[in-house]
Amino acid sequence: MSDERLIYVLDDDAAVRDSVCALLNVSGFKTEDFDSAAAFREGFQRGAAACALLDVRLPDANGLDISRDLRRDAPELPVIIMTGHADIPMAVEAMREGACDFLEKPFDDVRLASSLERAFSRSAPTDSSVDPDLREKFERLTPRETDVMQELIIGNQNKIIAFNLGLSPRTIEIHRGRVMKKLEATSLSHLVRMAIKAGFDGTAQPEHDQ
Amino acid sequence: MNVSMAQNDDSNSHSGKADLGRDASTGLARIIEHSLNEIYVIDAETLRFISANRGARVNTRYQASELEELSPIDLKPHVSQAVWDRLTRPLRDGRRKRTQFNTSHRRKDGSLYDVSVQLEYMAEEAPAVFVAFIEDLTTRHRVEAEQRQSEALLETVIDTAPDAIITVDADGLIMSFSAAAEKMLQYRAGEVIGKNVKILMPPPYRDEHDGYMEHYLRTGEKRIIGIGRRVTAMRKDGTEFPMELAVGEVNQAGTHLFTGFIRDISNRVRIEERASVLQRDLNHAARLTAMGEMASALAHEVNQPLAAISNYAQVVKKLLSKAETPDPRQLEFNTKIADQAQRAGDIIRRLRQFVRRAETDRNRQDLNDVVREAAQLALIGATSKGISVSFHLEDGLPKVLLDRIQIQQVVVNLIRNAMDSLQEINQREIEIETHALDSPRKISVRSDVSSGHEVQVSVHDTGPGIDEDVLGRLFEPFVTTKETGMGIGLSVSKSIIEAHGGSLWAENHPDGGAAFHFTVPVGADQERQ
Repeated sequence: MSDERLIYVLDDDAAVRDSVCALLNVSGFKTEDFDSAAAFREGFQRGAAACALLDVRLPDANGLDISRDLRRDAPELPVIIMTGHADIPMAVEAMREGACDFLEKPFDDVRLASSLERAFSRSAPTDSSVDPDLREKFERLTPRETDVMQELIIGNQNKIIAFNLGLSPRTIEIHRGRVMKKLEATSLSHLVRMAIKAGFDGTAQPEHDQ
Repeated sequence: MNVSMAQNDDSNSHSGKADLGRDASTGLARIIEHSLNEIYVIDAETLRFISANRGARVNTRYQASELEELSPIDLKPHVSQAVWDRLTRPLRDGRRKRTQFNTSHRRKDGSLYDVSVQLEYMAEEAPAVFVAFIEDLTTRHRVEAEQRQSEALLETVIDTAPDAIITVDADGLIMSFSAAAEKMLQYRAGEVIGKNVKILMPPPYRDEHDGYMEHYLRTGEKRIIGIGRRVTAMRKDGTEFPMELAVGEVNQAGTHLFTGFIRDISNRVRIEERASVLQRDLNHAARLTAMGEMASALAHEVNQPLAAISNYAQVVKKLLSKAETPDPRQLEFNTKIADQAQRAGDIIRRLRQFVRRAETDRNRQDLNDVVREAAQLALIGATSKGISVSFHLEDGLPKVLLDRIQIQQVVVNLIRNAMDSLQEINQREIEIETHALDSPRKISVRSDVSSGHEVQVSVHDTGPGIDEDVLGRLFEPFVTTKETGMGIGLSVSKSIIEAHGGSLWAENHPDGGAAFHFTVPVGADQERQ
């Protein structure tokens, strides 16, 4: 199970950086870590790494900008965004910019593994065409479910969705469940990826939960 | 001087030579000559003027020689011979020594003026004469008219003064009670005049008032006179209301009179109370918001070590599982470490949601109202600092779905910041503006394109503006912490606005000064209309 694939890890928190590297190492990956966007840009070598794990917030940049830069300079490199809970909207935004997935901290190794799996098996560069089969799946949602889905993919929490749609949080939860089930989405990031592939670009401003 | 001198004068005239205008050298004669009143001596038979003093000549504007040819009747257009005879009969009959009547005099130029005539008849003289002493009533009338006018004016002032005016004598008895007092206290003047003023006070003041008055009259120590005070008054129906009382004193020839000016300040008190309630609410909300912000920041910080703990636990788990003889207890406890880390993460997630949203209470509000009320509070002290404030609040704004207290916190924050920026500045102006924006927000997948309407609030100041390098970091937490005691910082304001779905930003004016703007979407309901 050991492969010599290199993974870039970018996070300004030393403990997070160290522990993520440890986790990757013990899973058989090589890692190279950086504590700032500047350090990353200096040490980055195209083609050296099989994947990059970026924290969405850095002292001198945010993961979004780096994501964009990578998409431009090394579109074949899959990018996974790590986020604290507050930054889901930004993470979602990053996904629209080409990041392949996002992970909420604290995360478990199962999720990390599946994320990496997906990253490696991705056909690069990011396919921007719309998948018609996927689109059809989305069209099976009821209008209300579509409303909820659109709120979800811009990163709004249940309570905010409830305000926006004038429904109770409980109702939102029910709709959310149905949406995830109908679309066979295993996680929010999965839903976002599918929605993007299905052509929903959701450019509305999310409610920032800062 | 003495009468004999006068008689001397008369005896001179007695010789038939007219005395008019002759230089009177004796004291009394001189006085009579120069009196401002008109003094005439008239031949009772011929009714010709024998003497006429300077006052007469000046008033009537006739010369001495002209008056020689005239009689009193000539000067009095309303007195004919018949009237004269009737007026003078009691004198000639000896029934009366003196008579007085008012009439008009006609001057040489034909103009008239009112006079009061006092007439005496001296039969012992030869010839018998009338002596007339005449006062020009014009001045007196004018003075009287002025006095009446000023009394009428005073009455009007008292009656139309919004303040109730009550006068009270040294015993505390009501002497006058203005119309405003009647309205304010619901008594008719007739019901209270003569009664002790303390009936207008609620107990316990009522029982203390006599003591106050006595103390003042005895010691002269002024506790309220000339000072003014807030007290409570009691209406006829027993209801009480707060009032501002000013007491003046009139001390005339030993009588003490006190005037009380009463202003009903119920309205003002109500506004003050509302302002202090609002301030309390804002402070409370500010503290909660600050708590929420702190919780957010804390959660974010704590998440990092939690993530690390979780990762390390999983590293250990992996290492243990690779070991030759894995110790199941190590595995078990390690799993627990990882589980607890996850649990901590969940708690923080829930805490953040709870603190952020729990205090949000949104309904549709009139934004201008919200802004005005917050501004009222924020601008306390602005006038004394020489700051002029103008409002440009657009009419007809749609009602906006927002949390009133939270938005008010933001408005207070921006206005207080503006005030602070004007501290060392000469031109101190703040402008507060609201207007509607129509910014279409397309959410592309919906079958209908909905446009999101927003309203914008702006606070402009003529201060030094914002440094370019600070501009970008202005809204970060803990960058600008100025605990003014009345608010929250810019980073919290930004959170509030963004939680409403709006934006908060700042910019510098080209000609100096800064402007802070925020937008708030009108509200989701619009979409469904």
